[in-house]
Amino acid sequence: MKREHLIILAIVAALVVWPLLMGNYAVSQANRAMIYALAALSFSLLAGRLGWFSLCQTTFAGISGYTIAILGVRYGLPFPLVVTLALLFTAVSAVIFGLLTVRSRQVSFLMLTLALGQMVWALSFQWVDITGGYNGIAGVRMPVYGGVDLNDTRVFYILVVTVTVAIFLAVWRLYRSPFGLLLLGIQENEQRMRALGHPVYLARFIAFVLAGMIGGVAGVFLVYDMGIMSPSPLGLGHAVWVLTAAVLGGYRTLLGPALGVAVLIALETLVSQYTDRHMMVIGLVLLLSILLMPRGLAEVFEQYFKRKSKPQASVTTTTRGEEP
Amino acid sequence: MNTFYFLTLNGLTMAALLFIMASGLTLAFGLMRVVNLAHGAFYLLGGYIGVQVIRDTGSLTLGILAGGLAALAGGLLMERFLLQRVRGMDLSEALLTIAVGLIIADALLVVYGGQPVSLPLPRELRAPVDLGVMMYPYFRVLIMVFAVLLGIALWLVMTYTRIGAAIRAGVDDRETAMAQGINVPLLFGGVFAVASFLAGIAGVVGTSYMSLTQGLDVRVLMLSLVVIIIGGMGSLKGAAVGALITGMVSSFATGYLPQFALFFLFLPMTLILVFRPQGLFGRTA
Repeated sequence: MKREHLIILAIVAALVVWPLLMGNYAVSQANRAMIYALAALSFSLLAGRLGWFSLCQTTFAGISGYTIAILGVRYGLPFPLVVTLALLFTAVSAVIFGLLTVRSRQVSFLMLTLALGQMVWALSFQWVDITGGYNGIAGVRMPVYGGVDLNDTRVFYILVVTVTVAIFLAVWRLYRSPFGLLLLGIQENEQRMRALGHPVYLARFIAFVLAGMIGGVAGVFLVYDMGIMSPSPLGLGHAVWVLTAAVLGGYRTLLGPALGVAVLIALETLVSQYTDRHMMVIGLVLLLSILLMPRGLAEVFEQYFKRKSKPQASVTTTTRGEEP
Repeated sequence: MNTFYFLTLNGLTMAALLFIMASGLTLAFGLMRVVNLAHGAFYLLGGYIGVQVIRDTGSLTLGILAGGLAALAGGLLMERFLLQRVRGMDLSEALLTIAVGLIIADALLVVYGGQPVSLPLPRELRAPVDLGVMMYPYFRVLIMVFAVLLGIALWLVMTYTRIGAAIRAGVDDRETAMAQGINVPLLFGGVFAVASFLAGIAGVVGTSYMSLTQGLDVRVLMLSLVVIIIGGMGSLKGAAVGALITGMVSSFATGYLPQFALFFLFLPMTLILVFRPQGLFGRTA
């Protein structure tokens, strides 16, 4: 309890100090990491609370990114309106996808989200008139307000860090709220929750839309960070990257997804000196994570610290029952 | 009118390929609730190995067999050494297959490069034959015939043999089948191997229709998933009907609305999911 607060304070302090100490490259890397941490959080919200592994969270980021690129660059709409519409459109997509997936279980959910995500990818790839096809839409930039260029790496950092920390704190509250506990309860025993009178489908649907919105926010930053929107962030590679980061870090914990993203980016930077086989590295990391530490780094650390202090009961360590 | 016949025949060819890819996958899924998301990578593996063997030996039969066997070896190794470690945890098994798929596809990219590869077919197989309504490449006709024969063979095995009965029992009710003394895990290993073999074969013969390229593994996986979701997981009949629907939609959408071709592929699946989530011939779990 106390330690949790300390860890959060330490992370916020580190995030404040980072741009003051580091060069532009490190700051832009941090921007990228926080954007992917949001995507991984969006994934983990479903995976950790509901046991739903989604391969379409990056699709929501992509939908939001394309909305911004199309409305902002093609039609020249003002920045606040573009962002609002992007989030609105993401919400609408999340509602549609949620209606299609809400009744499915673990493996069929995985397959469904894979198929739905690839459908949007296909659309972004083939509907050249609107999306620009393979080349995408370039020149996506933030405006300049009162002499402050929002595209500047450090200004952009302030924006990203504020929103990211706010969302992580909100999700932290969500995990501890009755709604968060209900989601855990549904994962453990759906029948019992239904028998107790809880609206199981509605709760899952709300969680799905919330997670989709987090993905949408990640997409807003992603497109402004890259300056170009192309089909590749919607591809399976990105979805699996985010999944791998969340599994590596520990999708059941709040900070696990962020930790996983940080470790994976560091690992990729390290490995890229020797080889450019990124997908193989991701595949190996995913393989080893599942075989060796299915609960992820965050829980490995947690166990390590717990062994040192007195043992503590935890809500998240109960075993999952087999699906009926 | 000629375009119509051409698109119909293309649709049938596609359906034949889809059936070869998806029939084993759907049975393996029905049996153990394990979806092999490395299926597309196995297709690619079979394709590349097969083409290599055809180039080296000049024998098409040998190439098809080699492609099938390469994928079979991959499937068996993955099942024995990886999936068995996390048996019973459905999601972990699915995630492991994703990881294996990524590794295989990337390794193939290293070995064979990113250039599209097509199937070196002997002249007499490439030549068109007269089908009454129009001329159509002989090899594609052979693919359709093969898919029909495969369908009949699988149907006979499933309906009239002890193994088929055991598979059907396992798909219907895994626990009861095991209680009756059926070794479902062993059976699953076998079905999984056959599914991988078929994916490899499809990879070789399918290369006459779609060239092998980077990213084809994901497309093949998507198509197979769409087929088994439409047909119902675990149903052979479903795989056949799903393959027909998907093949036809794919061909006609590519012909008339190329911009939305891939998008339209998913339309029947979405409709099925809304109105009949267990698929056309699937059973409710």
